[in-house]
Amino acid sequence: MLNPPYRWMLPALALLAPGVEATAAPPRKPTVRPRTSPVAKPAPASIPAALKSIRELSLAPASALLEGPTATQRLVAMAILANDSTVDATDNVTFTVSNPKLARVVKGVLQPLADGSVRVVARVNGVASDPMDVTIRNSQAPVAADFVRDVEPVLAKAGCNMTACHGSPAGKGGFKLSLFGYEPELDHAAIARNDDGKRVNLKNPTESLLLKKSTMAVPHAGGPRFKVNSPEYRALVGWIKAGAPGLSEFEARVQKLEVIPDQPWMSAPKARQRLIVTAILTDGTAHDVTDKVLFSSNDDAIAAVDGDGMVTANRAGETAIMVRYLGQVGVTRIAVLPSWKLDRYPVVESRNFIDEHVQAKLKKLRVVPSDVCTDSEFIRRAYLDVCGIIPPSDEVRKFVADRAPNKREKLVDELLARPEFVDLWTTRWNDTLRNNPRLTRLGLSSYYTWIRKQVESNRPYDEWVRELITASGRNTEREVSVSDLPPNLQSRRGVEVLLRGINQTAPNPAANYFVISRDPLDVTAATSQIFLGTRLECARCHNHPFERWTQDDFYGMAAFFAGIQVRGQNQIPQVVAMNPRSGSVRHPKTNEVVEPQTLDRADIKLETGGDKRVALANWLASRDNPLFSKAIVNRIWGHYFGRGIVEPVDDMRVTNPAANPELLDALAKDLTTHNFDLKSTHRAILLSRTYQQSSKPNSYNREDTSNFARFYPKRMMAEQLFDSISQATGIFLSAPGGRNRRPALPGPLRGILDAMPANPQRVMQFPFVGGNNGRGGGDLGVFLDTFGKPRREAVCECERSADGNINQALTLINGNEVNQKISAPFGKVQMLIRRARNSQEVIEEMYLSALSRLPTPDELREADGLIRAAKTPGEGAEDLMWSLLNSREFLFNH
Amino acid sequence: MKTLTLDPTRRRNCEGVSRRDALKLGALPFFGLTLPEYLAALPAHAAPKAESVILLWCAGGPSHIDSFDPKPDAESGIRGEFKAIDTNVSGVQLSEHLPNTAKVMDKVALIRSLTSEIAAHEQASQYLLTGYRPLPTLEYPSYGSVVAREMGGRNSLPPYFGIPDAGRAGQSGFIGAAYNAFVVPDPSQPNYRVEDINPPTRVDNDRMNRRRVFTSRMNDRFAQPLPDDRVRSVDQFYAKAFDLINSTPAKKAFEVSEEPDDVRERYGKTTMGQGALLARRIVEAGGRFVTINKGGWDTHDNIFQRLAGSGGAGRMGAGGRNGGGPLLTELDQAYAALLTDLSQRGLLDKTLVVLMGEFGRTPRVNPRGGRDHWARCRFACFAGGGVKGGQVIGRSEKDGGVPAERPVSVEEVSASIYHALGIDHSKQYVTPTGRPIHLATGQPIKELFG
Repeated sequence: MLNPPYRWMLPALALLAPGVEATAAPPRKPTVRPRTSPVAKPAPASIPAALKSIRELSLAPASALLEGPTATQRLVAMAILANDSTVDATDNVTFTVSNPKLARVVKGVLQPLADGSVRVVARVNGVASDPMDVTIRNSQAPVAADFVRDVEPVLAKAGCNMTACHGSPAGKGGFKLSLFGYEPELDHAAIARNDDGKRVNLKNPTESLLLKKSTMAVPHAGGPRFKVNSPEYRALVGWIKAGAPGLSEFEARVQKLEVIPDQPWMSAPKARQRLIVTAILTDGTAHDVTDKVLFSSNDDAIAAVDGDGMVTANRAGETAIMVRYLGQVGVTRIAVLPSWKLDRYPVVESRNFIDEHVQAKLKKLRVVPSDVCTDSEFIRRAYLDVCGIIPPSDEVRKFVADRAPNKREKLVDELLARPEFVDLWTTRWNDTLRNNPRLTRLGLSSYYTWIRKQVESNRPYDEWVRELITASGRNTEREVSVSDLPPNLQSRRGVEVLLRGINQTAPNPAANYFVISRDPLDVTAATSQIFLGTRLECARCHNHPFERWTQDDFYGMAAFFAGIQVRGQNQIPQVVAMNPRSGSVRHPKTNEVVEPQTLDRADIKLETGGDKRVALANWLASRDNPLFSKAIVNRIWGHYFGRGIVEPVDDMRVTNPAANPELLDALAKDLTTHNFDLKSTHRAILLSRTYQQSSKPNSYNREDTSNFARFYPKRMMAEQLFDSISQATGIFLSAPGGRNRRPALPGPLRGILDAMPANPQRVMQFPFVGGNNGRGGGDLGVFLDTFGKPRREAVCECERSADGNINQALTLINGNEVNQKISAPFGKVQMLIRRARNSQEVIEEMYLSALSRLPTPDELREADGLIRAAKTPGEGAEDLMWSLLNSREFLFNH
Repeated sequence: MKTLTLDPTRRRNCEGVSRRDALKLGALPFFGLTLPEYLAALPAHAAPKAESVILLWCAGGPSHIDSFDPKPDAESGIRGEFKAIDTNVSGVQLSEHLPNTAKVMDKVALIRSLTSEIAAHEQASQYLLTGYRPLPTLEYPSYGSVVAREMGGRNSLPPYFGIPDAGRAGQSGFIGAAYNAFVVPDPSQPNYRVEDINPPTRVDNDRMNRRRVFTSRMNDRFAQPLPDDRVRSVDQFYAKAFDLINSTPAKKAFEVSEEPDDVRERYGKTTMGQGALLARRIVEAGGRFVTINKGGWDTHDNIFQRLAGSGGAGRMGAGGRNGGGPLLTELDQAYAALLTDLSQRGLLDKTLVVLMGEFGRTPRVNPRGGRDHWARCRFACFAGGGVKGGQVIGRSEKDGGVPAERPVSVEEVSASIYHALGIDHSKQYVTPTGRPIHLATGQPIKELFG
């Protein structure tokens, strides 16, 4: 769960209740002189044993500026120990200020006393840090009323800016606040300026509508929010009295947040680490805002953070700490090292750049990768991941017996060249690009064929993406005739004229990209998520709370698609055209027409009257756009490892950092070096030792869930599972003895068969299979739907589900797919019983067919017992195969 | 003195005070309001009564003017071919082809002003079955899936059912496939049987046990060294599946054939009729949310024949199934029988029955004798589960084109369903992107629970 988004305001709220909590504001005229002397005091009594081996002490930040009466600076002293590890020593050091009349340090916080310059040094155990230069300015100025500090926390705490109230996109009762106060400028306008400023009464502050509504002195649909004279009430009164000022000059200039220290390594569970957050202003000056920001941890189980920025390590692993302030976000990654020590890190073979980066990280984390998997495990894994099906038993036998030292490399190259690889990635891209029946049967089959061609020819990725997002034309490959339409439209008047118009347009199946989401805003959300791995959708309605993308960014991107026109009607093929002059995108806040702008605000040239998408495509699918290449290598990585280097694979953002950024960069660079040849990425991954690791953990990597120290078992995709049951039982879709099934499709979709091979063996060869959700896909559709085949409604990778449910269990326990195939007279199971010489032969062949390995002696004995317990050998063999197919070992790719 | 603690970490409704906070106040005056006055200022929160929901879903989009919102005084191009008849609620008329429903309208709260702008099948279904406008980047969970997650199953039965499926949009979306509907085929078909809850006949108990024992030994060996939750979690679904397989009472719920013939006839031997009867049995046995999805309502042509004529509706509707007999007749029989039966068995109070469809249809009859998609104004019927019957909520303009009074939004419908079940509709789920969303963004329709 998230922290309440307004938590960052709570420290500020404490200011409202004087004396409740020590606050940032120092006494202006201290009555007691600080006793800090320039001479170091004796070190605090207890110096942790670890600090005895201190080698170096570093004090952060390197320099500081205290501007204004409320400015303070938090300090962090990091000790570097003899074994190169670092610990937060702030509580153990003594701080010395060169001129104690100007500033003092209280509990690690530097407070101003008078203007001037000082140097601060930290010392512990005889080791001193470099001095930190501090400038103090305007420390005697009066404290001014402040909207962000005084008002926003009240609105948040009283719930005024929640989704259900004034924070809803439309506001409530004509009064609209930004959700959770992300946009203080707008909130200030809403309260102090809009509607002729009726909400504040500067002459008579307690008569302000804002106060009367929230105390229910006048009717308020939202009920009373706080009492007269409560701290909340007094805060608002004070602010109105001061003239209801807007953002301070300081707040208006915040440009960026930085977290110190960057990427700290925490030595062990229970260790603590202070964070400092610095706001960088437009003039480049840096100011401590630690007490104003909201902290949240991406994974509390690994490291939790409190409201003051104190991180506590909980268990070994990695996470990120996110900070938010005034619409800006910052992040630092935190690694918690395990409690064990590895005196000698074992030598681990590295086969390519992937292994180098993975292992470098693991070594730092004191995590040892698993051993390389067996040949049986490898061939099963590679078949499933590359071809979408388990290997036939004779291939397993051959591979295991092969003595060639490079046999895994040979296998990888063979598999990558097979048509099954094309089937699998065509299916994946059809899912992502949402090739669904809304496109009509001809549209769907044309799009399918187009996508398949790109995969089959391994066309450079950037090339086909450029073609896709600039496509115009008829969405069907061939001309449309009346008989292609659903029966109820065939007799419609004017239908022939309509089709003539459609047929006069040049075909371009790639244009289906725009038929499936025809609105510039939808296309923007889809395009950024699919090709940039970046979810902009949030910024459509409000500034993205966890990211720097704003509504300006979203609508700037959308403006490239303004003028897209999709002509045609429901259930009839369509024509996509771009008319840059005809459309525009307006900013929802200002209602002004937005000019096209890329996410990185690149300087791009637009031809007047030309297709704006061309400029976007050139920027997007460029080797210079790091998001583009990272997004695709991360997606491919996610396919093989069950999780991306950034996870979810299509949610790359500052606050969701990569598990291994160097690895992601290296893969992206490798791809651009290979001119966007995606197969080169597949091959590099498959040949790495990292991919070939066993899924069995050792005692040094059991906890690892994100650094690829072992192979994480994955439940098979729906199609993999279906086809693998066929492979194990020898009953394929069109095989003799099998049911010769074509996908059951409702009438209007039968044209999809155009795009299908004559005798499909595997379900992965199907352009589309309807699920059980009212479209009719027969039992095949129900099976796939049950196991999470995506419906192609969402661009999100998460649409494909690997979750379990009761229907899946019932399907495998009692369903036809398993039970008919194991008892089919011409299936593998029954043939074996008739032909095998002895039960060992039967059992071994079944294990090889279903699990790609031989049984252990124990298993052999148990399996023999299972077969013998049955009434007939045939039934016994059925029982064994049923058990194998219902085992976790079968269900998972491991 | 007792003070109101404004704990910022606690979820609170828009009124700013959680119910617990309010109760903590006791009868002390609160900012000039006594507690009863204060609570009166909250929207109606009558104690929820429903324990389960039956949703009759008309896929394809039922015409409101020809069913629950007749316009007998409109010109013939709008009025259509059907007459209006009186019901057992004075002043409320229905189409003449809903004669049985007319006799149970005292149990029904009829909304005639449900409105939205989405008139495409897919998106409209998603909208009305999830309470959220569809997004290309996120799939919202349907009501049934949310109910499954919030309430869970009872008596070895899964919580959520679809007959013969849960509709195009009746999916679990981002909350995960564990909450998808359990699919039960059309019980009106002669070869009706629920797939996969019984082992093939040749596999007797002993055999199944041998298989289970062998497999569980394999699983232990395989999973023992692996720390992965996703490998282990499979076990719980297998355990639930065997629970159902081994529970005769749970499986009996599916045996519609055990109902006396006259009961089966009363419901009608149709998808909707037998589906509603099956739904009643499932709810009786412990199911939480049952959707009966009946297509064929996408009547772009020949609408009067398809709604009420003899000789069959003919074409396949958007729902993907052939309609069989006239649609209104089928619906009328099933709906009236269901409400009567539930009421006679004392189940109506505990069972919310919702009848609605993707959208309404155009006020004006088109040249092909059909009506096209129309989302701006249509009907929805609520009954049972604490809903006050015998009332009409909202009113459409005289041509049925737009709401004239009390427009009701899709968001209010979704909040009402959760409210009836006692599920806090302001509860939040977190999407995969970390965005918190409320179960429903609207407020319950006050009039329903008045």
